[in-house]
Amino acid sequence: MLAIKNLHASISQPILRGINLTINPGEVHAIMGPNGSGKSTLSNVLAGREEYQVTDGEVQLNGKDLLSMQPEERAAQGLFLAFQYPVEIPGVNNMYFLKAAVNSIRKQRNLSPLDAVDFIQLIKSKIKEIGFDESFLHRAVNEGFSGGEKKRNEVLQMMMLEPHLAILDETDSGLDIDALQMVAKGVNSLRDGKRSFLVVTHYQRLLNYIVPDVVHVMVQGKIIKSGGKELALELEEKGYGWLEGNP
Amino acid sequence: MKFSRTKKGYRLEIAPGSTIKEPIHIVFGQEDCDETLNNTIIAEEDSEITILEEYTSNINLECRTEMICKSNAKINYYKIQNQDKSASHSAQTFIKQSKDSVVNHFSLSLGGKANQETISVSLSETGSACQLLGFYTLSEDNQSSEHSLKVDHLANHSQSNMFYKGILNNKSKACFTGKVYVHPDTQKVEAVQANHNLLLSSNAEAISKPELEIYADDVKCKHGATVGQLDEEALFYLRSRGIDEASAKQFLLAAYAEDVISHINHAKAFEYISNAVNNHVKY
Repeated sequence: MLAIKNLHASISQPILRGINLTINPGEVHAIMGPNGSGKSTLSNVLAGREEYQVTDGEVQLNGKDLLSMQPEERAAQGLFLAFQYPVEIPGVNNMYFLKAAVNSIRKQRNLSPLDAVDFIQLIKSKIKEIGFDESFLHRAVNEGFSGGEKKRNEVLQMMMLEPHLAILDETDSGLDIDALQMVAKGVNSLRDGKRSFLVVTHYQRLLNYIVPDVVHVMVQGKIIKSGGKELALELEEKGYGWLEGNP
Repeated sequence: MKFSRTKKGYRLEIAPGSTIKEPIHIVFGQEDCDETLNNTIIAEEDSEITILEEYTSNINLECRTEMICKSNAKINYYKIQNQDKSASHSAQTFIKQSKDSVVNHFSLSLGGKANQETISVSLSETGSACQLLGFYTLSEDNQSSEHSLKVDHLANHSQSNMFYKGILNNKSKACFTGKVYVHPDTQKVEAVQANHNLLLSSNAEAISKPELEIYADDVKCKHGATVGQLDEEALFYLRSRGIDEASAKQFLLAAYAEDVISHINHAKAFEYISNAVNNHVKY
């Protein structure tokens, strides 16, 4: 699914210093690490944010060179980033935006566009799962949404776009326990044995609800330790200092 | 309603107490007008009228419009300037308002080479209110627009709202001057001025001068102006959802215009103007 080899990236200074990571179809990987370790940079580099410069290494998504693609091509190839800070876009209607996104991806995949009726049926079934009422569809994208609503909107978009690989960038930050469970439920409903997830988080809490197959610890732009889900519990107990001293 | 029209302009009078809901659509095309136009709109007491004026000529035009809005009358005036890119458009509008009257003035500027618009409003009697909305788009090198708006608050409880936005590309230039003048001892006045510009090119230039001159103490006035660029964060967000760059920019430009256009409260006029903008604002 995703193969990252020796990835180096910088934004005015080096942040990622040689990331190696392979995620197989159906696997859920978690990346944990302290502030400033490069977790969000990794998410953003994978999604194609232009401010970051990739200085070395390669990334393949389903065997294709991810780094040479535009952000919209990455989305069409099945990559989805749930943003840490979803952007408010006044004046752009949520439903109109989602329909454009779904049909743009369908077009790039040579599928016929969904018509208005099919689209509305689809979205109505999805918003129920995520606990939104229909009024959310008529609001501007994320405008005036609470922190929890923004994160749920990310998961709604994920459910609509059905990516092959979803990256959740600190989706748990700023969520109360109810919103966290709602988000986890949405994510878990998409676990089908083929779709892969990369869950970036500070805390172990989210991983109680979205149980990972592999946990990686990232410090200073490198993955310094990988293990099973029990590694997250160990980190929660001992903190990152335990590993930082012995990279 | 009395309506007369020649190549030199039109005169429209609405009888007291009458309401005309359908917009009166007046087009000044190539064959329809001289270079100098004089238009007069008179809304008598308790009347209401909606006018949609459209300029599509490719000759240089100068137009002078006078609007008289009497007690408790309402004029909705929507103007679309979509002249040829070789032609200049110069407009002067004088609005005089009586007690509890409302004027909603909207100016859409899509074409033309050098465009000048001067609007002068006298809120002469208590309770009169005007809304001056505008949206301009300049896309060619050396295309320019100059909007000079002035509202005189001469009576208590008068209200004004200026809200102009523009999108500028290439080496175009826009200048906005808004002046709110609250005359001595004119109390309980509310006035808002805002002008925002989106620059799509580093060669484009926007000058914004909102000014308040206040000689009374019990007033609520505020003003603001911005000159900015396309929101890169929003652009990346849209693209990360599979929307190609050109379409994503189109989304953001349409949203930028929508912010002003959504204030048009006449449904048919809104639809007409919205279509005109969406057909025109292309990245």
